[in-house]
Amino acid sequence: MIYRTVIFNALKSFNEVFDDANIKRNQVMYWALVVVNRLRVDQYKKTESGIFISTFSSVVVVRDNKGRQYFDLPAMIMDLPNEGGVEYITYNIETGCCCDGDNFSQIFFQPTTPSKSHRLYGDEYEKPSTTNPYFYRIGDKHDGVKVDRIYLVGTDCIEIKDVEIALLATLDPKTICSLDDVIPLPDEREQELMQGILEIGRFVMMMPKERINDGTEEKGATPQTQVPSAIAQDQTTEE
Amino acid sequence: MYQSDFVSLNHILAEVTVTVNDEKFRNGLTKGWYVSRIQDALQELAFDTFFQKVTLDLDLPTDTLQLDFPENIFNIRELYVYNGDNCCAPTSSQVVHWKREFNNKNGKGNAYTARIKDRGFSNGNDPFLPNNGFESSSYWFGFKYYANVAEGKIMFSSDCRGFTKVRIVANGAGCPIGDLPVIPKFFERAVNDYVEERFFNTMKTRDRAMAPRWSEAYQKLNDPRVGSWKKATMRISSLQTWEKQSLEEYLSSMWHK
Repeated sequence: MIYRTVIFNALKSFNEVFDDANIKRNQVMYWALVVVNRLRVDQYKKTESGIFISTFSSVVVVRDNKGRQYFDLPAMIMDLPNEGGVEYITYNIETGCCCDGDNFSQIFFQPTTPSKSHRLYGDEYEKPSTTNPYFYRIGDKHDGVKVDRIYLVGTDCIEIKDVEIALLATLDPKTICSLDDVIPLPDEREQELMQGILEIGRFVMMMPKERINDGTEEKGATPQTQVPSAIAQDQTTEE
Repeated sequence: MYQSDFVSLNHILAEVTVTVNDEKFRNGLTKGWYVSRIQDALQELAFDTFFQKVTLDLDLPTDTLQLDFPENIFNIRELYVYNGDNCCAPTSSQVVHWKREFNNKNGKGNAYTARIKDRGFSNGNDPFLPNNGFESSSYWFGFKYYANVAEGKIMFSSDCRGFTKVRIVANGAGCPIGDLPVIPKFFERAVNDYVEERFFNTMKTRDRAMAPRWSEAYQKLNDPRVGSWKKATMRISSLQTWEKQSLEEYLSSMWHK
């Protein structure tokens, strides 16, 4: 299923019902992305399949001004409980690099948060170390600068060149170059996709008329208040 | 029952994480948390069943005659002092007996207190506890090897000074915290069920829907008839066929002599 099919199908439906509305193709495209992202998260929760996993085999690790190791997330990820949007992060303990060395030397990072990581140091078996490392995400701002980073815990004492990561990515509108791109969603969710787009469109069209900017205030006229039909009927009866 | 077969830590992890649906360690609990619970399980089994016996060979501090109680053991079963070449080959040894209320704190080996001492004159002129010493200046019974545990130390009698080494046979309290646990095969089910019960116990504070699952896991572990903990304790206390046969032969021959 490609975007073109869905977009034009939805546009046709909208034009049949709201023939005066000037709905743009970009608008429907945006609605489609909103629905697709929600369905992808829903689908992943149901199946946990690898259909939405993207891997990045060599993501460079750097240190911030406090010496903490981090890397920038190469894609937007699903916000799932316990950093479920990060499927895995690994590095090679022998070489400090994701690609060199034997497979058995690959170390997996486990999720934590900046505050929860303090507790880990209390247990001999959970303590962060080079063989038992953790990661946490800073997804908003670092010293006032917008970031989306993954910080590494337990590997401060060694130099890690890069890591291999797998992410459950959300759809980035920038990566959609053509309407003929395939929608990354299983075919069985097509019906829900169409329903979702039509629901958003219908909701937008149902916006109350008094909130529509018809430009009347520019002419100095007082905008008329719309009387709800039930009250209007009562007023007519009283007269 | 003894067995030298063990299951690995990963073997337990591989099963229990599937049972509790945490294969990815994304329920807020880390892999280390599970390992820690496995260590807990072995520790509890060690206390309940005395399954682990360890032998420690240590230097005897002949100046203070005090030895810090070794870590990760409890319940001393046997205690010896010995001399030997290198470290651990006893050429001559003596059984060290337990002596009630013996305490050589701050002594230099010879000085000590006890309600009843080797020589009774230590408690002279006491109308309530007359001299009960088994030895006096005119009666010497020979060397006496005894010890007691006080204030976290094993304290030895002064006659032990003739030896340089101590052998302690004691019950181990599972594996030392921080070491990777090794699990005897006959404890596999009990350890699995223990970790499962701990998991749901933790999760029920986050989600009340987990409470019935915890209840099931608790029952599976602690049922007094068919619970895996009960089975584990029964297994460890059952007699070896070898021991059983020897005992039967001994007892039967006893009646025919």
